[in-house]
Amino acid sequence: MEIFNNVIYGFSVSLAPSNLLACFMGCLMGTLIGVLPGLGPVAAISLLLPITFKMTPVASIVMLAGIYYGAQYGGSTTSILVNIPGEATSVVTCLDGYQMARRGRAGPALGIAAFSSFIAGTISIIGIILLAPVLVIWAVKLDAPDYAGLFILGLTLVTYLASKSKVKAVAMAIVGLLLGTIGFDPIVGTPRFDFGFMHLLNGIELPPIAMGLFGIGEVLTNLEKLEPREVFKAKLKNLLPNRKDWRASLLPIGRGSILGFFLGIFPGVGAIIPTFLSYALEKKISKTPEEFGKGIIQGVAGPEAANNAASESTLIPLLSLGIPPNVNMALLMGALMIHGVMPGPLLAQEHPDIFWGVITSMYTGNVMLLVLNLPLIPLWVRVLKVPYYLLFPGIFLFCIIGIYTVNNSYLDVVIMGIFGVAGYLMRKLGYEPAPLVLAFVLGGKLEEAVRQALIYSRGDLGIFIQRPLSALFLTVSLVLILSSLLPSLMKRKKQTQAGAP
Amino acid sequence: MKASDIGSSGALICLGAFALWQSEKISIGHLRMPGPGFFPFYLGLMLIAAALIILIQGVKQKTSAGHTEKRSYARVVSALAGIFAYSLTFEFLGYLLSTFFLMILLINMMIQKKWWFAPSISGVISLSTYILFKFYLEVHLPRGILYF
Repeated sequence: MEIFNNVIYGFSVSLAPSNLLACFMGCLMGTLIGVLPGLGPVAAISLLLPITFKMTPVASIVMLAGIYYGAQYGGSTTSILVNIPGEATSVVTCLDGYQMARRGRAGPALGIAAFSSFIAGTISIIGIILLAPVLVIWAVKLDAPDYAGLFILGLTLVTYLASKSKVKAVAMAIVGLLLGTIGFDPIVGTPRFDFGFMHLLNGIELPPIAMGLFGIGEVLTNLEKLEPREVFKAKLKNLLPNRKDWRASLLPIGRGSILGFFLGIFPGVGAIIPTFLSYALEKKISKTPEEFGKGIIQGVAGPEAANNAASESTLIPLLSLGIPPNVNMALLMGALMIHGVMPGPLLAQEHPDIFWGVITSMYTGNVMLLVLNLPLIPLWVRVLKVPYYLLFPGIFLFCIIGIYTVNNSYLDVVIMGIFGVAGYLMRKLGYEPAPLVLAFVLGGKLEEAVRQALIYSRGDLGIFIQRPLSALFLTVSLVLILSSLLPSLMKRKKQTQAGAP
Repeated sequence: MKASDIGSSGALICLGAFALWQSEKISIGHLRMPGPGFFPFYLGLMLIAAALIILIQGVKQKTSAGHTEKRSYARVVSALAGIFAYSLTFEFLGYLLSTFFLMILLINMMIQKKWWFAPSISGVISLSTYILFKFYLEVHLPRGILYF
């Protein structure tokens, strides 16, 4: 009954005109970003962070979350029509979606992508409503050592699941934590690493780092090689899937939703891995696995459901534990912190409007995306034709003005430029920027938790293993680290054995 | 041997060493009472350790002689130079002029069209965004030498 009342309250917040408008803007921009290849939701959220400073905390998070899950909807459009994933999470949709378009079935492919995203979104939101409050009750009991363990586990998972080198991901996470130490020390207030610049006394803010690494860095990488985009020239008809399509898609949608929902909760998993797993699962249990990759509708329905369910369930650890499971959520957390709101177990109690408003706004957003997206597909196809020579200068200008308006300081623009160069070089050298930003956001909280635990235990490191939860988190982290080292150790052992006479 | 890994690990080792040096200066403290330099000191140590692993991996790795794609680094360098020049001249020249010049540079860098194309598009972009930011979003923008 309490949950029911909370949901009603949440809808009263999310359906308020200003929040509804924020949700609409977020979904619209998210779809646009999803459609445009080369610019992901992370870059878009980074670019729009400064705009949210003038909004209420609820409206800003509703809008930024809308961008994230809206991008999952938009990403499938380019995968199906251009064979270029607008989003990393839509890579799998290219396999069968584009083949369906080539067979003259672009309409049903786009239609089932939108419907499966909607159904998965609905299932995911019900899951969030049921699970998030339970986690909150559990999380209130956590202490400083438990939090330290939880943050370390979160960072370990993010680096463990890095798509490139794990050691490089660890190095980037450490750099992020180091950047987080700039400014006043959280315990005794001593200034650190300010080098005499007043500007650095309060630390580096998240927007110049995020906009530099993701906005400027991403566009610079794209500038190296401007790929021509050829939009599929088929006439779009019959966007609504027929009965046969529905029969084939319902179970994959259900499986994809459940898979995406549960995997999305874990830090570092994000929305990409569930799409691949969903595709692999559907292919494995299909009676006609040979049809996958040739334009089978199950290959679109399952992964599209998985990416949307996962993108929404990632909000659970952020809202209930205060731990962002991926870089998008880290940016949302940063936006909340800028408004003086600390996400975590007390959020539901102290700011129920944010907690329940954001959760219910996702349902409103999903309805908007379904209603808006299908009729607007011809418009998105036109957007795909916007020339690079207008798009990229526009993004640069938006980054610069956006960052300047935060503090009216050109120094922020310079800092953003420096991180833009860093982001570009990191991509070139195989370093992922996501662990850096995630660690930067978590850094202050982790340092505080570690130091408080040590002061409380009078320097006894055993406190981290004496408490069951902290011990559990640290053990899981250790197992993950060892399991990532194991394959290379086994390989080396085999090589030594093979080399021995 | 992978030169990029060796170079980047060198930069990370320098960063780690710098963190160690600076942390010592602001007091590391001890386990009972960790000081302001405690956290960055151990982060510096961990960064050096991670960088050493990257260095060793880079030394052991064979250089792949794969095909190299044709890429335009000139565009990247010009864009960066433009952004830094823009941030430094923004307050002196004012929003309208500095944005106009930046847009000309960026558009010319991407596409070669008739001489009037880039200035006219740049003019439209800088003027329309000026009106949007200044009057609609009420953002404070520097006036610069044009005094508006």
